[in-house]
Amino acid sequence: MKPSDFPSEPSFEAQSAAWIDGSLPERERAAFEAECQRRGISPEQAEADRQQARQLGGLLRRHAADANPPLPHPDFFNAQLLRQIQAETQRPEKAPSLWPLRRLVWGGLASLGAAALLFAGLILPSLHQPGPPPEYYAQILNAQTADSTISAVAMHSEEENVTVLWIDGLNYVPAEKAKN
Amino acid sequence: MQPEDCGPSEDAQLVAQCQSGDCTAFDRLVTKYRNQVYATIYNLAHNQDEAWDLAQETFLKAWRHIAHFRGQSKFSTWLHRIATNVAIDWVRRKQTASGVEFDDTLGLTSIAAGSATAPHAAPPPQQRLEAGEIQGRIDAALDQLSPEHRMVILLREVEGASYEEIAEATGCTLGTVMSRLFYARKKLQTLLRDLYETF
Repeated sequence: MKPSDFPSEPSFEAQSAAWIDGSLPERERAAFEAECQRRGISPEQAEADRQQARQLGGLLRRHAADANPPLPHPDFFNAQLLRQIQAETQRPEKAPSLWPLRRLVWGGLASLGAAALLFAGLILPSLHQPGPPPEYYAQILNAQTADSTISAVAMHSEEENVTVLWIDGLNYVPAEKAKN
Repeated sequence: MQPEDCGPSEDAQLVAQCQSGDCTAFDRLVTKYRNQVYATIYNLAHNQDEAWDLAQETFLKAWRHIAHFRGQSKFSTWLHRIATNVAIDWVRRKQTASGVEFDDTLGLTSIAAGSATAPHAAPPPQQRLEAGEIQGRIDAALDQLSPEHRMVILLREVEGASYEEIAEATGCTLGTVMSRLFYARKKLQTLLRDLYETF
């Protein structure tokens, strides 16, 4: 470790770890030794602790070398992994499809277009071309009834000189009214 | 922390191929780093089947996220970090399931740096303990550390990682790494003194 990488204001524990590993920067050494003295740790005790820590490291390395078995079935390890990767690749997460929404939009636009064509081709011409006057014309000036189901329609023909009053909903018409 | 036959530039090239979807390139990276990843996880898990599955999980996560790997660190460091997280997560899940708690702090506050870490042990155990028993003792001692402390001391002592590499692998500051190393050593010195003084 470069001295410049050493933590600024390191804890005593950090200093101790670095000292055991032989990576305590020279500028930190005086502070570490002073702290040891303040805590009542003699240089001999500190050195003994360093030796113990190194012995522990040696034990762990030997243990790991003896205990760590090699990866079992390495070829199968790769094959199994690639099988999982290919399964994931072939089954990508489906993004939500916009097709139904698009279909609705285009369907709506097509309907609007058809309606516009119909209006322009059939309705508009009929509005602009005045047709022949209606064959029958009559106007009912006043109609009163207590029964809302009774309705009256009047038809008049100039040529025939006749007016027909069609009253619907009456059970009968009194004779004196029919004469009028 | 890196296989000898694998340079960072070759890794970078393979990673770039992986990022364009080349599974063959990823297969080569797996072949180069599978033993290292397996060993790291095995050191923490102490179980071959679990370590095998967790190594698979590690590489699968690496594949899923390799598109986001920007090369700011070495591929091996990045992969090691994934392996470390996968292993620590597994230990945490196991801990939660079993209800066992680690006792990192137990007795550590009373241990002074540089102090004798344990009373002298009974007579040398080499005549009583078989190799398997020694291994069991070491595993049991390591199991008493938290996953974070265990990972730091294993990376340092077994894999020979530098403080900077450990900091990258575990996502900690240098100060935290060194502090964890100090406490892990103290704890193991207390538990294993009779072994390392004998063997």
